[in-house]
Amino acid sequence: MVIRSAAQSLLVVVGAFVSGAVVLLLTGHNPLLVYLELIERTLLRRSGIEESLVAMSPVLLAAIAAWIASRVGMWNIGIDGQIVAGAVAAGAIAPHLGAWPVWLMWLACAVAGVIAGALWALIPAMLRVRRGVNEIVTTIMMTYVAYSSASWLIKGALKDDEMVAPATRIVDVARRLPELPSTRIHIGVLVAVVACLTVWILSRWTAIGMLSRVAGEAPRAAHRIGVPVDRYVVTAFVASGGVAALAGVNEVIAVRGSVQADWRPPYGLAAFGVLFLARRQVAGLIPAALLLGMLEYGATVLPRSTGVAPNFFPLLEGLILVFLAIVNWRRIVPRGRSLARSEGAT
Amino acid sequence: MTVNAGRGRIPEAMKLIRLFRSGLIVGVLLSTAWMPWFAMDDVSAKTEVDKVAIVTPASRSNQGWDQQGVDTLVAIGKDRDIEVEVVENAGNDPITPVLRDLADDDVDLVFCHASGYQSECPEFAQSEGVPVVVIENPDAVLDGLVADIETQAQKVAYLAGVMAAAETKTGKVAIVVSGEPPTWNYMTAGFAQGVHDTNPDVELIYSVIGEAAYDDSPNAKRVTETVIAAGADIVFGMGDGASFGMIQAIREHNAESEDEQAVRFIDVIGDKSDSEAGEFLMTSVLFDYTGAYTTMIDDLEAGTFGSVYTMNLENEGVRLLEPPIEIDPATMEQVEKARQGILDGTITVPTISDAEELETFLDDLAGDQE
Amino acid sequence: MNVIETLLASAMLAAAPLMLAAIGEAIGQRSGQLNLGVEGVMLLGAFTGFVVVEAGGTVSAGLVAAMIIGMVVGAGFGLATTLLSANQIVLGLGVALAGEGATGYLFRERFGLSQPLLDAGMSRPLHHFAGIPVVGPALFDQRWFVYLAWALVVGIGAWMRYGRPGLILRAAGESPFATEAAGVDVQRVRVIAAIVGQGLVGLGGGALSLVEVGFFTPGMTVGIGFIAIAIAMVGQQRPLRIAGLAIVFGLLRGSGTAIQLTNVDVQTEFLELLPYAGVLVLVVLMGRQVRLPRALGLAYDRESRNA
Repeated sequence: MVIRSAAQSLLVVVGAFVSGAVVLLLTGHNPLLVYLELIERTLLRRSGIEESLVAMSPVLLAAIAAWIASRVGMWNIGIDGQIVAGAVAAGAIAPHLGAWPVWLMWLACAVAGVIAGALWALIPAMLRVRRGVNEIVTTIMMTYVAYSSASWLIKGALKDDEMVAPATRIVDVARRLPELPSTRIHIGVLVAVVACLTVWILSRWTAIGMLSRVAGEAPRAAHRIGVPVDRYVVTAFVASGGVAALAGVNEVIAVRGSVQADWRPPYGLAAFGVLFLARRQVAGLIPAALLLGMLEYGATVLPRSTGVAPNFFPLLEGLILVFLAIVNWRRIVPRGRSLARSEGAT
Repeated sequence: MTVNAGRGRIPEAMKLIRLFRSGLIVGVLLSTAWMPWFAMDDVSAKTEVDKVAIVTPASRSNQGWDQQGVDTLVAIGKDRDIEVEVVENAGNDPITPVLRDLADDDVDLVFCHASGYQSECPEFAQSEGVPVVVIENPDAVLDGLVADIETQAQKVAYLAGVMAAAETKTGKVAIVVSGEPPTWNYMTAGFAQGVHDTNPDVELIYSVIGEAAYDDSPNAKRVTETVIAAGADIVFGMGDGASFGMIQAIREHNAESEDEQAVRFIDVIGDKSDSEAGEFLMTSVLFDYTGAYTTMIDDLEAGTFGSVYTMNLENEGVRLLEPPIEIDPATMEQVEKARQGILDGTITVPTISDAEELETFLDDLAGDQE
Repeated sequence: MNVIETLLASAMLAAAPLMLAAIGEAIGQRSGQLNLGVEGVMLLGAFTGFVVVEAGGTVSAGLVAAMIIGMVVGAGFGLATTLLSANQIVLGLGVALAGEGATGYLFRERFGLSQPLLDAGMSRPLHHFAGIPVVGPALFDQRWFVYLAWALVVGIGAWMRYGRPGLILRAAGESPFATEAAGVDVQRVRVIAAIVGQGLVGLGGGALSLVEVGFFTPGMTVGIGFIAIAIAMVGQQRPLRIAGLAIVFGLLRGSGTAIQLTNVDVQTEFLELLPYAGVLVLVVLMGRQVRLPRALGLAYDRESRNA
């Protein structure tokens, strides 16, 4: 069973890469060379592995967020907006906490970010539960609203006057998350892994964790046995937003030290790639996120060494999603979503 | 091991094993990664510059910002037998991985050609010891590690303003920008002053396409159509990639308008004479990085790296492009007179880089007209 | 033409691609398919049309090519969701991402060193009447394609609401099992709906690059695809509502400039917010009214049994 799922995921990746190879061939590149270069740079070089792991961290967090939402049968397409919300919140308060002990500042930023992301997810969640509005549309709109609001704030109230390109005030390098000794891997990566483990534990060994799954897969049945489905849905969605926001906080306290006004995080769709590559199992999220992290890193360095335009990598990620959708995974889809069930249940 | 074929669930033990396995794989990868560890080269006073790199946010095909930087550096590289690595389309995402990759490739100097890289590049220089050149960030200058290029284009923009005021037939000139970074604000202010000093009755229309709309051509086109509708017959456009939208709007207007005036365009930074814009391109406030880049490389080789280089009218780092289309010789004389005036100090050009100050300044100028 | 007139005229123009994409998506939604890949299909249409015209073809040829590529993707989508029970949401997202990546990639590979612009040239048949103040240019000074878009949207919309095929479509979307029992091949209906629908989306994309803007740049849709999806949902698959919403959206986008010119002190970023916030507000207000087909987004598996 495990082997079969893993094999299906592998098939998906291979399929995507093969399709990508066709595109490369059509434009005059040698796919073998390109892929070998990708592997060499991301896996066989020390700096490549480190960078891939660093790139993995926001993708993993986004994937966890997507997972939490999917657990209750919801689609959180607004992850990028929640990331931005978290980043702006952290970027807004960080410069004022210069006098605080470093670890306290990180904690404060994380809390602020999580609250911001959670609030950002709350609106679509409430709309879905109270008024039956499809969360796909609302979350997408919230993302664009987030982008515009972030721009507005960062160019206005939050702008660092010393910087030319509008951005929040930089957190000094000395006060950012430390890196693992002798590597470039900041502990944000570990935080993401720990978050993954935490979610896994919570989902397995707490009542809410287990029941939320029922709420997602068979809402009517859950309701009948007394599970407060609506409340679980909102809680999960809000938690999803909070986790996503951590990726934004990451940007401020670890990666760049500030948020720039025109930042558009590219993690929202990749998160779903990870989610389904991992067959919606928490355990699979980490290796899948690592793969996408490698692709994200590859996208930054491969254009220079192979001459392939950087847009190739989003294309590859998109192909992965397409193949994922096609591979017959009826067993993975929550039963509630299949028509047969709902028609019969009426 | 019971496996429920119908539901496809994986029992707990298997899950734990899988998780452990992934962790093990990651751990093994990490530990093998430590093996090929080479000590980082220390930055001793390098005097030989063999390889340089330039990182730009967009494509060099935009015949503007990115192109000027890349083309100039490539030309210098050919001249001095220096290898040039070009990383374009780096966008606004963190570029530190790219920088580190360049460092791994033994690059001697990196030109970070965007104000959005203002914080990452100096940090990278400090942690990796590779010298960088940033733009618009004089505070980041560090001996031996970080140098800065400033562009004071307002005086040349002033001259463009003189030209515009002299040439406009409708008495309305538009300034269309796709953002308000200091480099452009300098030019807007200079241009506006030039227009005002030449003919105070000319009305200035200032329009911002968007926050950082450097690639938003469709909106640029819409905005330009609007200012043309408002009566402007000369458009001073600062747009990077978005300029194509402006150009397209002008092209369509000129092709379709029957008895109305043909609209003309004044560009910035690059030279678009060979493109479709060439038919109505009056001039451009050209940024020539040759002097700046050459000086930076020379400094590095001499061991004096770490200063601020300012491109301006005086050192011809910024200058007016030779008009590709016919311009009235009387206008050109006016421009030349103005140029002399600036050089000998009789004309003062405002130095405004902040967006809010700019708004106030423009309002004041408009106020003068009433 | 003064500023107001230009604003209205450009809003009408900007609405055309959006309307087409929205009605195309609405057709698919009526049949029970939610295709989130509209952004990608529009870009594919925009790029294909651009390539055809740049290589020397006429604008009409380019538009047809754009429509065809949309139909091809639609066929793929429809077949995948019916025969392979592919998950619509994931497939849609994949198409959006892959479409954006593919067009950006191909564009850079092919036109990497220059930015070709297309010649202006569509005729404006009703130009004669454009003299009417305020609404004249908006209504009469448009290129012929805008009128075609209107005709398509209204025509298809009416056909969907009142025609027999429209009823079948709707039935397939609401209760596929019952419809199947009544003798309709639901899978075929869905595939056809997808082909036609995405063909319109592709056409919308072609309109964006060929009619509205005049060139192609990677990612030029900037979220328009998702707005189209929202409009399709909110518009309740009713043509006039959809067209109206598209125009309102066009206005909101263009209003930024007009407001700047009047010296009212509103930041551009805030104005950029308006369209998206507007859609949100609409969706909230119409909340209960937004009745989506019951089978929307769910895999219709003919063989499955009711447990």
